[in-house]
Amino acid sequence: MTIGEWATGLRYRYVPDHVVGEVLGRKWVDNVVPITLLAAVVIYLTATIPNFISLGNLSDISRQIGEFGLIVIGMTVVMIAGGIDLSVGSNFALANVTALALLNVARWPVAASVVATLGVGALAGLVNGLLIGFLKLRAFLTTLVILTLVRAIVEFLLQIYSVRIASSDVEAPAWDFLGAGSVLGAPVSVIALAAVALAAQVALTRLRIGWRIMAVGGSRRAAYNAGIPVPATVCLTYVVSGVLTSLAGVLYAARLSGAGPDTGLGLELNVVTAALLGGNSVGGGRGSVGKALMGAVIVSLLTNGLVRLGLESGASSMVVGLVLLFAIGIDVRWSKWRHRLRAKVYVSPAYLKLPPAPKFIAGASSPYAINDRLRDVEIIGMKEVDGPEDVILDEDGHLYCGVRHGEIVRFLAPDHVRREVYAHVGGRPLGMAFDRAGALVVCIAGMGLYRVDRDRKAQKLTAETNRSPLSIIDDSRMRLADDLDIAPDGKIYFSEATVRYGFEEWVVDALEGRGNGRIICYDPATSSTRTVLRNLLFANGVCVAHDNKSVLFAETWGCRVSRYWLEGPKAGRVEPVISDLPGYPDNINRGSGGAYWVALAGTRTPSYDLAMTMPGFRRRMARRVAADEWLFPNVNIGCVVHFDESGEILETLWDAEGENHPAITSMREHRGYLYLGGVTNNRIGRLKLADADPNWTGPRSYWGATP
Amino acid sequence: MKPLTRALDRWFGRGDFSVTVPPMDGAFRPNDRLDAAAIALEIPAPDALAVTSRGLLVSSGARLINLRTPSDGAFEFEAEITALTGLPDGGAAAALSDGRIVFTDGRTIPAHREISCITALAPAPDGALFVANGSSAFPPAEWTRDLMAGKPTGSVWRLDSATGRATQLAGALAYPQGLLDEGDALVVAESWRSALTRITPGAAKRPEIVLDNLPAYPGRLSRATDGAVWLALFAPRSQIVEFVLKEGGFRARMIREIEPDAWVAPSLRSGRSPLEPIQQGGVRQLGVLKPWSPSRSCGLVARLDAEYRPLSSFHSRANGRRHGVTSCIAQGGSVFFTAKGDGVVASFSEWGATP
Repeated sequence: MTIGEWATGLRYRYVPDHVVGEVLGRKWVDNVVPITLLAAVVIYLTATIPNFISLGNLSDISRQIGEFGLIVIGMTVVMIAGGIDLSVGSNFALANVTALALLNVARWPVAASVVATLGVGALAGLVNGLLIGFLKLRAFLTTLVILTLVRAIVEFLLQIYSVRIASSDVEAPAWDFLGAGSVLGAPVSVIALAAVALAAQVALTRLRIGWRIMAVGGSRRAAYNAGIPVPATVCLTYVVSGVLTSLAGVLYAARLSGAGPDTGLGLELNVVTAALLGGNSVGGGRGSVGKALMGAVIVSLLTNGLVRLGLESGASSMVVGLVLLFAIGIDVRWSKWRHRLRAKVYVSPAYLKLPPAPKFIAGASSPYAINDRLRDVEIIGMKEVDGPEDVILDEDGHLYCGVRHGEIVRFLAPDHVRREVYAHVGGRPLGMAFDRAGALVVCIAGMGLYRVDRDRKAQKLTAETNRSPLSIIDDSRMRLADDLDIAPDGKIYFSEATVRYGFEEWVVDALEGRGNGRIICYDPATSSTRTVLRNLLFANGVCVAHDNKSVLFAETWGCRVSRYWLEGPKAGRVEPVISDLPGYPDNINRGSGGAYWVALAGTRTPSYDLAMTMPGFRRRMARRVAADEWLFPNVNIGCVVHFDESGEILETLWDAEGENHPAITSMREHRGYLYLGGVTNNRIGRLKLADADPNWTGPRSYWGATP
Repeated sequence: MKPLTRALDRWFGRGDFSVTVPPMDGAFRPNDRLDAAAIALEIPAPDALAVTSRGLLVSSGARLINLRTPSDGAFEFEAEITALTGLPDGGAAAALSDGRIVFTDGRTIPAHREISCITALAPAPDGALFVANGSSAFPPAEWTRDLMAGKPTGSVWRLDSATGRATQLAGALAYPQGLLDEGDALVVAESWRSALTRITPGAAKRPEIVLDNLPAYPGRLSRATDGAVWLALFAPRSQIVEFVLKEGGFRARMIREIEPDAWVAPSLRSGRSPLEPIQQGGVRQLGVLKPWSPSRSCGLVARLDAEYRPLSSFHSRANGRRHGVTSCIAQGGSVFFTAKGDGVVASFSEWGATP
């Protein structure tokens, strides 16, 4: 091994490239931009303004943030549903003057004034909502008009009441508490914001109404087709925005007790900036309360900091405007970039150096030498089955196989000519095994582990396992359950080939060559599922050993068969059984005489072995070459290997031309015959074995004479 | 700006540096006409064809066989025949892998030091021979090595058959493998450039490209009596091979560590050995290998007009049985071709070829 190769090995072992693609696939990655921005703003302001982080300043800012944040949450709710509410600036002013007028001029009690003000806010929101939701007017123009109209009303009210508001001296401790009080050091407005944020978060993510709002924003037409009352939902979001804006107005009124013509002037721009900057989409369907809060904090800090930096008010607006432009740009570009980038970097090949391949060309002296023993097999179900990945026979000699249409097809004994659909299970049925009761347990790619009882009723056993603590993608859900076997105590050991790809993309997993697979154990006694082994190179065949003390499993890309000890001194340990297969092992099954069979889906080729040690080459190949042109293991050849308990090779059967059985993925011995299945094939093969026990059957080997 | 964007393109493998192959379309639209051709002779690795006054000759290894009387036995040389041409006097000349050129009338031109990889011969009007020397580094049998080495070291020579004097007409050619005399100029099929180039001996002009962007590697050329040109294309270009050609590191290790038969390289017949590379689309599905699946070998003969514009083509696709066509020649209304990869000499009607 050269130094360069050694370095490549280290590099790909310790730098987890695959994490980048997985992170980009998560929803929370959207928050990276606002968090970075927030950190940058805080660092910059702390560094340039003395005492920016002082207690007095913070409490001052936090009161503003409390009020501002409420409006931003309202705006976010509107934006998630696909709208925009520009009228918040004058609604805020209206709430301010209403609250003050009711309290100081009309001398209403505090509670009544607050409730009435919220009612006025709701009314303003309702006007928006009715126009936009039910009359289908444009949100932008409508709220712009309402902004102007309400501003006119505010000015009208100010003409009447401003002097009387200013000259009154109502004593109301509750009112002063709203404006200046705090609970446990937190200002009232912050408490209000926290409460509203919590409620909004729960409503948006957990309640029906929140899902409806999300759905309407994501796609109006789809939401309508799904039966969601789109106009009412849209209308509601404006009411929410109106109420939250007026709540902010009340708090503002309580804090400053002043009504002037410039209250809330230009507020809508700051609110929209904050909502967008947090990562909420202006197009709808994407957004959260957390994003709204982040945006609110960033914009508040920024405006506050700019004032303290001594910028002219024009310059300050300009900065906010520029930040808004930036936010709009990010909003449009980010989701596109993210998906494009993810598509480019998700496939991340790893370094995989296999041991030298044994010589297996025809005439070689190894036990793997190619022969033509599988050329003259009897054919069952020619062109009647599409991809029998696994085949299995019951005690009566009926032959079962899972096919691509999501069905389990049964060929009836004794001649396997008549065929019936035994059960329709959906998904892509792969490995199968009979349990003690004679029910068929099936691994179904895309669905999990299922059981088809003798009444042909399918029932889910498990589709979820414990999540790995540090995994970024959610690996609790099974994507590619592959093969299984059942221990005498009823525990089902099954393999999941890869956690990163589904069945249709298994070839991409071949290209990656990383240990993405695992062995999972399902215990029917407790209905619990747990992952037993991780980081396997495409975990595939699983077979409980004849003495029931261990489980044999195949790792396809690793070209090896290993043993996992269930009991005895080595319990819980893994040791190799065959580590130099000439090809890619698939299912493993028991045979007569204490032996086993393993199917090789294809042979190793020198060029592919070389490519597996050059991850950069494979990564570029994945990006620049069409998938159909990718290098691939040679699966146009079929092979079955017979081995004993110690891993000694007894014999190897090949279909060198791949005429009948390329890519053999499973085989079962039954009463002196070997049955062959292939995931890309349209037939099942049957071969007479010369020296096999003519009475041996699989079910009897597992469960004794009477099932 | 241009150098910078080019460097970026090179890094990302896009623009001029993207891995693309011309599609089999237009005159090259696929069909199965080579598979439908009538078998004339089945012999191992038939390579070159030549029209003589006594009939059509075909080379197979070191043997030379007359297609009219194949049962009469073959003439056997001491070394493999690498090129063959009919002469105006009705005879033929054969180049051997040891560098000698042997005439049917018994004359021999001894090997020339600089001409060690003769891939094509063509008679010059004055009795001399034009000789295509595919590579200065490798013999004809190691043509994949020359492709993977990536350096154009081929040349075209004029060999005086009387004196044995050799004059180089052009150098730095990317594996010239076909020759066609135009009187004052010479058209050469440059395999690794996927192009036909025109060389004008004596003129200071640089070689001029007459046809490029071929979807397969061009081999030997011949002209029919009606002026049409028949071109044998011995292996398809494929995206994976073009990609490997851009991947210096992988290529170097492949050349160093792997047997040539198992290389990611074009081939005259692929799919014979379990050690050969295979591509994802080349997987047999439900017992069928799709004809459009990517393959490192194919059979392809193209008919060009007198201006070297492709008119029509004859294919044996991925699932076909006439792969690796190294030469084709029109005679008596039929076009004979050698499918070297599959050991078949076959013929189809020249007239059926008119589009």
